[in-house]
Amino acid sequence: MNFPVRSSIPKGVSPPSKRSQSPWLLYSVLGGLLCVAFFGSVSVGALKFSLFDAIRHPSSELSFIFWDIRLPRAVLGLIVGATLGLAGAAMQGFLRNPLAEPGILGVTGGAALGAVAVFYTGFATIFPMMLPVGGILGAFVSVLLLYLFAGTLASVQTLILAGVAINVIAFSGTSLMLNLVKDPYAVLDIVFWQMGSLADRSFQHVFLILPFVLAGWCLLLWDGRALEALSLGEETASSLGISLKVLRARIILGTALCVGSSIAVCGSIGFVGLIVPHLLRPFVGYRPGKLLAASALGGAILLLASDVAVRMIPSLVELKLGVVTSILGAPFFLLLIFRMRKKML
Amino acid sequence: MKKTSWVLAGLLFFVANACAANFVVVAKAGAGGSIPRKIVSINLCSDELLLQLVEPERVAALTKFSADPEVSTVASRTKGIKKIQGDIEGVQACGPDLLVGGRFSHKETLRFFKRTGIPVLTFGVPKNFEDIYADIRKLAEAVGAVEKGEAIVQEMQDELVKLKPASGIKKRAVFFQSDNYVPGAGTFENAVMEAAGLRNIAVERGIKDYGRMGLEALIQAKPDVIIFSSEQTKTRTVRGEVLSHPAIKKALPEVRTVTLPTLFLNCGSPASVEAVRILVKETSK
Repeated sequence: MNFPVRSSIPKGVSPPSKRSQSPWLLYSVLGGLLCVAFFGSVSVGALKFSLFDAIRHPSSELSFIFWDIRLPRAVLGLIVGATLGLAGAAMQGFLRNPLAEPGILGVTGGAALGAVAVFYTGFATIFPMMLPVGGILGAFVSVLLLYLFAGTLASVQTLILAGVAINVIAFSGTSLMLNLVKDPYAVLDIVFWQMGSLADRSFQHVFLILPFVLAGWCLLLWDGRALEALSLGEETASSLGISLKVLRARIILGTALCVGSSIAVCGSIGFVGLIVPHLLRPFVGYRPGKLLAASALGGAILLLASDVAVRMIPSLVELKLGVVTSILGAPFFLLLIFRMRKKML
Repeated sequence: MKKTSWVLAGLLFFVANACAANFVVVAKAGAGGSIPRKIVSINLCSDELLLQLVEPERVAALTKFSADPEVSTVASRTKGIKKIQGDIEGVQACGPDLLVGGRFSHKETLRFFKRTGIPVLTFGVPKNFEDIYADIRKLAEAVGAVEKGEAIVQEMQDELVKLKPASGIKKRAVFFQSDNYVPGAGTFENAVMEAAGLRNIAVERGIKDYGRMGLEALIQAKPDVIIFSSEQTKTRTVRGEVLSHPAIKKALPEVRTVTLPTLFLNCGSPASVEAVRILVKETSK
């Protein structure tokens, strides 16, 4: 890991500070925050009770609420948040573009289209495994299209436009299905589902997606070194023995596997992959490789914290998680664009 | 862009749902004059009432939903009647002398024909059985079938009296709908539950119209009966699986679950009595 990092630092940003030298400090801080967020997620809900009581009295009402409602929700939040953070960091590293994010670039939309297609055809009811598979296929096609449209060194504009195009395609497909579906209740169901939520999921959902998510994580975390090399330029990366084609294949497949299956059970949750890598980048010395694991931790923290927030914000109906992350993320996205525009001028 | 998609999809749903749940008829036809013979209905609920009151020969067109046995209680009687979408041209092509529809669906069509002077009747969403009786009487008058209307109302009232369980300890029930919606006071579902002698937990909790109850609150409320509607059991999405969430089975092993066919609840119609009958039968065992 002795690649010079200066060249990947944007102009006008101070060189990495000393704290970036010890990633373990960062990891332990993030790990601590993650524990707090996870504990918060299992503690907060409609009912107030002490977790200690719930665990001490097995097969009491409270223990079922803890083990079968709260815990799977928190575990799923951790998995999905980590997935979105990791995928965001990997896409940003590979495309060398800080605006890359599964939601903005249409991967989430594609996954949602795939999942809706599975619901619509009724496959999900017959064979539950089809649900993550549908999400993965949708995400896969989206990432593939994205790289075909934009390549690896596209300008920010090209990339964002490609993302807009893919989002439009995915949205039209979803709308078409909503349009064609005979049962009006299914439309309601799908619309609510698309807003993204972790509420009332069970361990069945966790186990359904876990193998796909783990496979995706492995493929993406594997790429740390390659992404560091790539930050020095494609030629340098090639001379260091990195095959761009293989790297691209791993990133496409890895993103599709973990994002696709996560979105399939949680609905569209966006912007986590944009916010988290951006906030953590200075703490890893702007190194795309180290950013991967840090963003996975950060994504899990952000999603768990947002999921605590949706349950704590007093409102008539529980807010949808995807709505909250969008409300957080959209201004952030605008701010990033604004800053980039200033730099370009 | 995602936001827009929700709005669009929401609208889409609203249109689709308004078709199924609410309905309208305007003006008084047949009062003194000739009775309408080319009646067009552009809402499932008015389709159902219409076919209860008039001979199929007098119906010029119905909605496409009317022939679907999963949502319509009159599907078997719609044979040979034209099915239309409810747009202005489609209705015009039928040359209606009475147009009936829901208050919230195809508003433009209803407004257009009101202007052209064709009698239009619109129906709202019934909140109780009284509303259904009023709707039946309103339509019966418009189509010149007042006696038939009265007979249907009388039959419904008699049936409900017969079904009313002897007073005793009322079972506590909750109607758990998609996305954790629970109908409370002032909803038709609540009227059905009351008619079946059940106490609605949502009403206990002070919910008016529709409110939400999470799984945790559901378990804490310890209901005797959980009611689902059949469309939910088709579980198109992950959310639909809430209904078979392991926590419900584990924490409430004694609870009785009843699935009501959606078609008896979509509209207030004479068939709504069936929903009460099923509830009474399933909960009195």
